Amino acid sequence: MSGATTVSEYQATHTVPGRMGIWWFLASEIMVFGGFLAIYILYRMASGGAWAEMANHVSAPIGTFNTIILLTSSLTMVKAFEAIDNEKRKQATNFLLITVILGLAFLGVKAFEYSSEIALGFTPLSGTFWAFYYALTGLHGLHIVAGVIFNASLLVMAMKGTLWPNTQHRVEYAGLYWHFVDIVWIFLFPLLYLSY
Amino acid sequence: MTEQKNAENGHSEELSFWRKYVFSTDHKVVGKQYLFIALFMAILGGVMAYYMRWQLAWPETAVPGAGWIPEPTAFGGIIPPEFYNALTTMHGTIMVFFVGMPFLLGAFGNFLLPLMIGAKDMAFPRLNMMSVWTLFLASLVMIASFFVEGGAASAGWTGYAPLSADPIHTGVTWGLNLWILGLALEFTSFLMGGINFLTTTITMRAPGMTMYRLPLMVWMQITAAVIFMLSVGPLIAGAILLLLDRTVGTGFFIPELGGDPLLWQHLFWFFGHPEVYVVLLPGFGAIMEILPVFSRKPIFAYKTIIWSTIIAGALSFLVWAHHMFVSGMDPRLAMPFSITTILISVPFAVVIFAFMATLWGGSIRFTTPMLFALGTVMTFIVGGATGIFNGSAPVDIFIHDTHFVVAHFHFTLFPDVFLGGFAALYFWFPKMFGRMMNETLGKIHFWVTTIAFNAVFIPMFVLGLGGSMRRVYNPLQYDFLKPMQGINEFITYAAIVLLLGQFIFMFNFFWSMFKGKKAERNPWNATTLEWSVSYPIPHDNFATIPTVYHGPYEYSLPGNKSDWQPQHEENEPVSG
Amino acid sequence: MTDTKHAHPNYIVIWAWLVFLLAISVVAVYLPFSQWITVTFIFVVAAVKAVIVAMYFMHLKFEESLVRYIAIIPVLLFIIMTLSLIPDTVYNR
Repeated sequence: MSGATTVSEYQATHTVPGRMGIWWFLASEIMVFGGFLAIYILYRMASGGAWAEMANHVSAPIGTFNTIILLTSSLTMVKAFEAIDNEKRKQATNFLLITVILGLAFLGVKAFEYSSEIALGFTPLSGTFWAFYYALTGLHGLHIVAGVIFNASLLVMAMKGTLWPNTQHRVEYAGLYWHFVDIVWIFLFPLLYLSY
Repeated sequence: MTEQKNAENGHSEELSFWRKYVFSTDHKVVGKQYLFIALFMAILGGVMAYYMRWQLAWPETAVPGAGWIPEPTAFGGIIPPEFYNALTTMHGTIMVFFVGMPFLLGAFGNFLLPLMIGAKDMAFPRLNMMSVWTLFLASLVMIASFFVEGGAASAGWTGYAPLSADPIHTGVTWGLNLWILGLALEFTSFLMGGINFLTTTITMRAPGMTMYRLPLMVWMQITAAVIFMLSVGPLIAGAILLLLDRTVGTGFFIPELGGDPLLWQHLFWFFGHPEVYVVLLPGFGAIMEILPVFSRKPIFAYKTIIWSTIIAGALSFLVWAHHMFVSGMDPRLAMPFSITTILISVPFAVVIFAFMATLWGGSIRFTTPMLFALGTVMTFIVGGATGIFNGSAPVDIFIHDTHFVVAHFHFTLFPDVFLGGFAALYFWFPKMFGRMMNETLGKIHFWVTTIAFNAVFIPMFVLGLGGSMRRVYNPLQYDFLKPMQGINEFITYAAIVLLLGQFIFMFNFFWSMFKGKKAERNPWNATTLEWSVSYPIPHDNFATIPTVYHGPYEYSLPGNKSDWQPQHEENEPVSG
Repeated sequence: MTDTKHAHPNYIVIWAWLVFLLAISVVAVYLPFSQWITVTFIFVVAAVKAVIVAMYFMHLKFEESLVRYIAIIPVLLFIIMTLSLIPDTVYNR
């Protein structure tokens, strides 16, 4: 622990603060959703087969469709990031626009799903499975809403041209968050729609 | 570029009062705001402790100083059982979440971390400002919960379901919803803080400040931040479900509706046990800074301390069920969790031995911060050693939920939060406010606090072993507790002395802030970077980012002119 | 701390893989295997999809090891938590 240190020795990390901060944020988010999924899985295992009957009433085709929407929005988000890296501003703006539209489409499908389920009489009070269904998709939906708002604000900045030259890296950070929400859905989909 | 920054800084006086002192992004101002929130909430928590102690010593008599509380909360100073339950709950919640964390992590973490690593500010200054104002909001929500119909939360600071899941059990409706909301805001605040601490430390260290040259305070802060961020998630998920149980009417934690109330306990303690280390580690970090300075010796086993605390942090995720030995959980879990609990005392014992070895052979100066630091170590050993009793399932089944447990965790948290926190405050006060605190008053404060604290909690061990249950409203209802009522009265007298002793501190704190002796740049002859800047520290801390050449604890190096070697001064490297 | 250029794999191929994996997990539900095999299969597929998204879309493949630890440790932690709660919550009700 003595002697001078060169600058290269000092650079313990080449990750910029913004990305490092987002990753720590995602780590805490993993624990929130991880805890949530853990509770669901434990209850489901404890319920024996009693929940399968209830889980039969969610619509796997609609769920699959929504999953494709979300996967595609992840693709357009990462394409927007690639376009920003390659200095293609017009392309980046277009991809951001598609991402926002797909995010809204996901929410629209989800709202349709909720309303048709409630119309059939399945509310959060119709049993523990339904309570979990609404709680899990609701929390995930709130994250989608937040993501759409971030992305839309970036889109507005991109359209006005104020995204460059100082804030374009935010597309990457928003993307990391958006992909994380996508991963959560990747697990929610089989947990809620497929495993009956 | 540095000159340019300085020029900008010269204009910082033009910032309005609001931007400079209230909605400030300066980590030093944010740290002081945390400090004042913590001290205010500590007064609140202390008054609650006084009300509870009076009730336990002289049950159902009018508490002097509680006459102002309107009916139906209290009746002319007489505390009814419902309010007593709310007091125990809110005392615990406030002291852990609104005093311990803001005081040690919020105040000292924010104030010291960028200074110690040689950064101009936190990585995300606006996020930092948001974190303190979120905590402020959380405190307001907590305080407001006393004033809603039905009173404040009264399901214990652990909020066990189904007591907390259905209002019919406690009669508390909005009080407990606000409790959940307040905690959620508090968690958000410290998640933002934790992201900031970690990102700042990882990416913004000054040239030469390698991870193994970080002061231990920084190490403890970031370890605590990691533990907090990784443990709180499942409880947030659980809290959402609990809130749904209370408001929507679902049955996640209500057995009649197919829920599992024990799972709440699991989730709470999966967070709750790491949480006590979140509070503990920064307090220890302060001790680790203070002991070498006043022993004029390097800290003993620097890297071993770091890795011991990291191991303890990792183990803290695997001990939670030792809080639940009598809860009716699967008895097969008792043995593994007993073993991990006893294992976790090993790394902490290593740290305590390192403290002692640091003192050994040093030239010790008994200043106020040093007295408080030594007091912390001394009292914490009692708390740590009694933890082993609680951790082994057979003993715990006997002493669970007695005052033995209450005494145990007060013997760990009080030395850490208050003795350690006061040590830190007396030590860094010159850097925070530019003046020295009064030494004589500080020493009186130390002796009153430590002696009164031990007088409160050592008899409480006896009380607990005698079978006195915690959270009991009136001990005189039980015949077997009547012979021990004298102990209860003694504890209450001692607690009143303990609380009155804090007026010495309050006077010293505010008097020194305005009238204290002006502090020099480095009054304690310490080595770390925060002592290289003079008060008032400008917004961006360092005119030029210092280059670090030395480890943080190079005291009494042979062949050096002075007996301390500041981290940023390039001297001839001294061998041996 | 230069951080301008990133490696960009062909994202459309990755997206096609994700949709393909989604399709086989949906189809698997209708195949006449025992429930145990089906459930294991669809969760393994979900895990693979998550890893693909994290590695390529979130660039974890190209990050330094510290960032990977930040992502992996919480995942391990909640798996440990779930497993150690199974004896109590599932078999002891």
